Amino acid sequence: MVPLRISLTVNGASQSHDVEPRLLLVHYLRDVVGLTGTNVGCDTSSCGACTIHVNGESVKSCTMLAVQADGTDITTIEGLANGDELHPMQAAFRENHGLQCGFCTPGMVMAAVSLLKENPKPTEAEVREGLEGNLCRCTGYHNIVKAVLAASGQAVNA
Amino acid sequence: MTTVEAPAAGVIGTRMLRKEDPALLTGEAKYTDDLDIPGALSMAVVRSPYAHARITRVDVSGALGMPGVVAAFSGADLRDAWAGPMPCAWAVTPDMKSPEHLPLAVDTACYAGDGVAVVVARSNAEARDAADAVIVDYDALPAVIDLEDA
Repeated sequence: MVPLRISLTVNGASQSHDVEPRLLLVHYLRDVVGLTGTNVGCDTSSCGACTIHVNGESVKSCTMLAVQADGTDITTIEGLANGDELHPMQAAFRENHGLQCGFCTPGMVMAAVSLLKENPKPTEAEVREGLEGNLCRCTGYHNIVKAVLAASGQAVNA
Repeated sequence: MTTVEAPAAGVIGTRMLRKEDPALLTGEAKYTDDLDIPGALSMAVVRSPYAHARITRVDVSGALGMPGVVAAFSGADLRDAWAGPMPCAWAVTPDMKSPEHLPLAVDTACYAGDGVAVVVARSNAEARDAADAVIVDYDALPAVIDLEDA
């Protein structure tokens, strides 16, 4: 297959590479750009571990080809914190024990940030519905929902 | 009368934040697939599409000629050469059933997804491409899919 040239912005830095047309965006980010924080959980767009932001909207990056991301502005989990200072969503996950093994966490956090951008004060039900595309197999969803509600500045019942 | 003093301030009775969380929350944590090991090869597994089937032929020769492929094995190839039956449980009683547990299915695939052959290549994409070139013939067998029947 003839490689295609793509140019895009990842976490504020310009990237330009020749990629195979079939290369998935998540593999581009992990293997070409070298950002391994975005995890591949299922390879089938079911689990959401690979969720990133493309032009500010959450996208499962195993659902998208790298060539489709040409010209876009991408944020991955590595681009969320401000130096050593965690993003409020990351801090809320830590504070509310919203993670255990951490494998789903990058996707969960990215999806949650996107959710609050669309709906800054969601109800608990709206958080659960908003994150239904992200699967967690160890922490359970309760603390994740608590974390998202806390990050939205709403009172959380312990 | 003796009094018990409260323990000095410390970890006991104090809510602790986990030390590993910052790395896990920022994508800095390293899982096995995140490691960049020079010379590491990738393996793709050819899996049974049947819940229960007799394996009548496994031909890996098509895969061996594909770009980047280093090796390809069927279940029969590995049966005696490598990693023979692995004990899955300690025989607590003499009559406890302990089925053979082989690295790959040899004569019978026992579930959908049972590994039948593997291809090892320089990259994951090459391994997966070559896995498609492995030819496996099956004779489908009745499958038990009900708890009561099982």
